[in-house]
Amino acid sequence: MNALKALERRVLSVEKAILIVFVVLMVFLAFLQVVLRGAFSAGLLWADSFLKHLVLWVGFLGASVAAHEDKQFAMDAVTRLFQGKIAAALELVVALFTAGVSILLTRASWTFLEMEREAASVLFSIGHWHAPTWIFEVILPGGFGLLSFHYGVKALRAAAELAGFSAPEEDASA
Amino acid sequence: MTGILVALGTLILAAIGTPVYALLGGLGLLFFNWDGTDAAAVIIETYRLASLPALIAIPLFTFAGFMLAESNAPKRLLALSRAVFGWMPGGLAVVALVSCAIFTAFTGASGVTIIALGGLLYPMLREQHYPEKFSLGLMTCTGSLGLLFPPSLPIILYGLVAKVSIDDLFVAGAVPGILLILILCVYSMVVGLKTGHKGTAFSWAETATTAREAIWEIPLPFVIIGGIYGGAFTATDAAAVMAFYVFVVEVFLYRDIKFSDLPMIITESMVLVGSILIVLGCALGLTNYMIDAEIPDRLFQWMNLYVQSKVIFLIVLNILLLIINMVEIFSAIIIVVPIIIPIAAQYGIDPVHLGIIFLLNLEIGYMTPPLGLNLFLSNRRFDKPLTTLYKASFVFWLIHVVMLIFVTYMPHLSLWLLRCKSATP
Repeated sequence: MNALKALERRVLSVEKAILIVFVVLMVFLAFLQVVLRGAFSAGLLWADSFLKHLVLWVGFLGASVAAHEDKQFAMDAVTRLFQGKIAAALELVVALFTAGVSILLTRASWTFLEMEREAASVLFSIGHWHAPTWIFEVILPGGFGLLSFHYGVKALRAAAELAGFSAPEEDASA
Repeated sequence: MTGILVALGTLILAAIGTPVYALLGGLGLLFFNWDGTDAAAVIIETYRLASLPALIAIPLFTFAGFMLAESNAPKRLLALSRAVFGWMPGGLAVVALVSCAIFTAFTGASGVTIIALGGLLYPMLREQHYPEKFSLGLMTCTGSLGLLFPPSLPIILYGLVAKVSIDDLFVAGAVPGILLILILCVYSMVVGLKTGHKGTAFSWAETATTAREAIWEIPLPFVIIGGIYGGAFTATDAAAVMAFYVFVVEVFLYRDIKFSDLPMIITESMVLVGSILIVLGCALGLTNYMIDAEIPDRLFQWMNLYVQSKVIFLIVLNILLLIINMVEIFSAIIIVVPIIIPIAAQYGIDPVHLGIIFLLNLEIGYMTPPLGLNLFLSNRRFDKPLTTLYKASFVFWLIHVVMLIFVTYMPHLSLWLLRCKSATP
């Protein structure tokens, strides 16, 4: 359990670090585009597609952190009524189902990514460098994979609680 | 039979707290599987997130809103509007309405208003002898007031999902939004007069001081709201300008936000963005499937058996939306809008007009018992029982509902300004 907790903390700090860098990059680049278009009526050609994919990355990473912090949109009116074992059992069902769907979505995204790699399309070019589209799509299986991981951990934790191994502990890094 | 089982299973899973994205993603995978389509087709739809034109406005506006909420901007805004409006009868209540509306619009109507401004305003109102019931009701309704003004997040999301111009929606929301605030102001003034409260004396010195303090934030509403209404820039450009501007102002000029606070603010704002985008991404496959399967058409044909007139359709729609919107507003927009847009079009309802109806419904849903989000936020913030809050917010709720009736049956209220705008080149 402790090794798992350490792994989760490490995954979370990597997610957050990438998220922060990408958001700062997005804020500056989006503003630069507006300025360039306003002043010279021409923005950077590659920036628009790049920004759109940054949004995709930021969205998936944010969703992954949201999964860890239990901030995904979900109805909580019913679950609020329960405590103890029943709450843990419901949590286990929810986490297992969510992890299962996320794993299927990860697999589907992987197939999608392989198709895109074969298609070998170019998202944009800067000088002689032609950025392959699929690199920016890695976040699809990556993001769903991270969601699977977080809900998998949640399921294990709920199962452990049900089996009476450990009381639920608050994650200090959250 | 299988269909009923799937529906039942989905409802049970939803009720015990399954994340909306997993429900939508699961249904998408299941339906595509029934059709014999490869699961990767679901992902092709999800990947459309990267080609939605104005999607970037969501993270940029949300980031800017969270920065403002964490800074001392709420205090400066409050001091300034107190100096400007405080002299009127019921002045403080008017101050509360105006500052909360602006704050809610700028923070994306995510519920921060009650938490951030409520704690400052409620004690002030009580100090000036406004009745407890009135003060609580006022604070509870302000949590969603301003939803119709740019750059509120629900409008942007509606525009994206409904494929309606976000700029048009912003223009259409202006008249109903301002009218609603005016009516609430009149009500507050009446209460203010009844309690014998005269308002504070107007002072030029006070106004000048508070204005000087807020000097860097004053341009924001004018540039962003004015820029969008005037057509100077699109919502996406406005988002880019605002995120950058707020960042520079709060970090370097006011120094309200330290560099060490930034990781927390970025993460928390992107948690909200991420939870919206993942639901949107998983819904794209499902809604596409439903449109291919002509579900909206079939629903329309079924409805048309019972409901022929536009007026009755709108009544049914309003009741339905009030119930749905109590659940969770962002998911409500993403799931319901693609289905009702084609149906409403059959009844001859303009999609922009429908948007304003929908969003005003959301605003009311926020304060409708028993599940409205504002009620829970007030319950937490002011430590008052929910039943007290139900009663306290009733008059405000009623005013909103009357406004909704006007907005629903007088399309001109929403479309007039838009027509004026498109008439002038």
